[in-house]
Amino acid sequence: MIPASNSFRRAMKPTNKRARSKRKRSGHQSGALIFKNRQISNEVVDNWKERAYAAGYQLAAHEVSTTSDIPPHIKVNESWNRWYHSVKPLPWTVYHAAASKFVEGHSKHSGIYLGNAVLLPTDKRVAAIVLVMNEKDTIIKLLEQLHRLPLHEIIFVVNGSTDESFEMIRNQSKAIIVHYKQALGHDVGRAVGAKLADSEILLFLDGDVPILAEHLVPFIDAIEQGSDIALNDISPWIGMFSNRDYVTIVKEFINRSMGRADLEANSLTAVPHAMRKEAAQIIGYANLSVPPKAQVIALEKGLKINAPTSVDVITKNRLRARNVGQQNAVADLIIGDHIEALKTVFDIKGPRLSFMDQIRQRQLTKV
Amino acid sequence: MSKRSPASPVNRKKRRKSLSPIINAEFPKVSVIIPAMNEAKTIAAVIRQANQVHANTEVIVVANGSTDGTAEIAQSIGARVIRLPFPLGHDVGRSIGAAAARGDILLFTDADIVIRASDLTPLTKAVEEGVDVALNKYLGPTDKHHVHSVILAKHTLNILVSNPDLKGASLTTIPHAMSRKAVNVIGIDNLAVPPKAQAIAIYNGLKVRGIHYVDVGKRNPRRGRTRGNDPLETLIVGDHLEAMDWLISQSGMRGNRSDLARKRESVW
Repeated sequence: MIPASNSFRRAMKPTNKRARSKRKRSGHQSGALIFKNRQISNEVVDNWKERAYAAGYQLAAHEVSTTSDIPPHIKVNESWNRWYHSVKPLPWTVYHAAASKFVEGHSKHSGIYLGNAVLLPTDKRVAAIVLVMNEKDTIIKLLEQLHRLPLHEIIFVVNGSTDESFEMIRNQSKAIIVHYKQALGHDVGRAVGAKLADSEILLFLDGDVPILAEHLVPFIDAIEQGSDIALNDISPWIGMFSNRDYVTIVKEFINRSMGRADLEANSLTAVPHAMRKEAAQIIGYANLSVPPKAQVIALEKGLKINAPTSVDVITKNRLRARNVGQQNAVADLIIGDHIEALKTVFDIKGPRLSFMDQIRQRQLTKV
Repeated sequence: MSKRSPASPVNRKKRRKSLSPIINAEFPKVSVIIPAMNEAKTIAAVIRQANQVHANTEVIVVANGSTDGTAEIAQSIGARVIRLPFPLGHDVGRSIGAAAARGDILLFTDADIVIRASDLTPLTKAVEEGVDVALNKYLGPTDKHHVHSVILAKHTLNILVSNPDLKGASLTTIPHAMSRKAVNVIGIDNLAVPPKAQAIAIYNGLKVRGIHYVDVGKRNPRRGRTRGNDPLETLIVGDHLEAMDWLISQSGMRGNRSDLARKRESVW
């Protein structure tokens, strides 16, 4: 019943290696607990794969074939969750290996072919919101990855685009496209997409940064686990303090000023990140246009923010003509965004926030 | 407040020489301002070094809340001493000392660390040559992943006031010197909140420069890990926030920075 062939084992190997090194940083602690301080052996992975394959096969058998219009990928995902909730949590490396076999097992019985589909550890509706402005070089890759996920909706906010990005998306997907002839300006598209989305979990992406579908799963998982906002943990890539750019320094300062040193320099400014739709509403959709401002409002309102995983969007990104020439202007904009964020909290909590100086005899300084 | 290790032999020798008082210039070029609270061990040596900074120097000690004879020692050596029976709180002594200063150049240092005159003169000299605010280039440890909040705050403020080349150089750190003009622009009361003074100086176009490196790192006693509970850290980070609040009050909610034509009205 279980194909434990060598070819199958070989096929899984590279993925495992990659995922294993990621896992150390991923902070997917619950899973790590089970396998604490040791490499996950191939036997353990194989065992999970066998179980998942069997579960996929069995659950497919039990699925009542309704004539509902639920897309097959989402249907398989629902079955997956029924099983996964009984065994979770698994470290990501095992999770993806198991999910892949689950799909295979399911397909064996149901005949539904999903290719190299990725499954999500939630039944909640998930929307991907992607900002696009002249991204013809990356958009197909990005679509490929998004199509591997059981998403409820994909929303492209195409603005100020003069290349064929729009046509490419139109031809390659059934995504919702919000099209603006003119550029909306930085991050305004996020607010547009968030407001429009009809999903419980929102995943924010940029059109110029394709990310492997597997790497997006932990963000969605974090929301499923109860977080309101799941940020990308960029800490592994920002290096020593003395070498950091101005924006990174300012980001970290704001987090510390809000009493969240643990967030380091992680910020809504960076993609990818996920957010509960309800959190977006609490923050105010319009505020999502100024990400650092949205972040301080979220913290101020007591929303739960964490940074569950690390995706490298820094070292391999953005050596593109559009950005290079403008780097200073964009840095200036982002620093302005952080000043705006500070202004927002000063208005709420006063000029020193929670950092008081009662011992200072200020009245004596007036001459 | 407990202070550093017992005075070194060098200091002890210096103190024995303290029989000969310093002479404050009648028309000083440089006023050295030294806030002090229970620094009997070091005050004499600090005053002596400060006095040698320029031919025409006055040394002003703002002794506040001292119970260990700091004021008396300072007096006996010949410094101008302003006595206050209660602690002033951080950096308030700078305002009070500055108000009493008569020199064209004000040099600020602390009583708990003896800095050689040769490490002070580069600062006063820079001011003589046209710099408005001459800062210590000491930054603290920055070759690490997680820096101290005070270091982070200093760097951030300089970035926000558009003078990032200063890195973490700051009026919070001693020693530093400034011109009379700088004192007037900043306002004597604002000297008690050094980061605010710095923001005002830079925002008003004064020449604020990192001039000379003096390692003042060892003076901060390692208090072990006091994560989030260090009152001094809280105070200094708060000072920087206050400086940023002031900056926003002057330069608008984005600090005069563009938002590259964001069409905010697209969402409401």
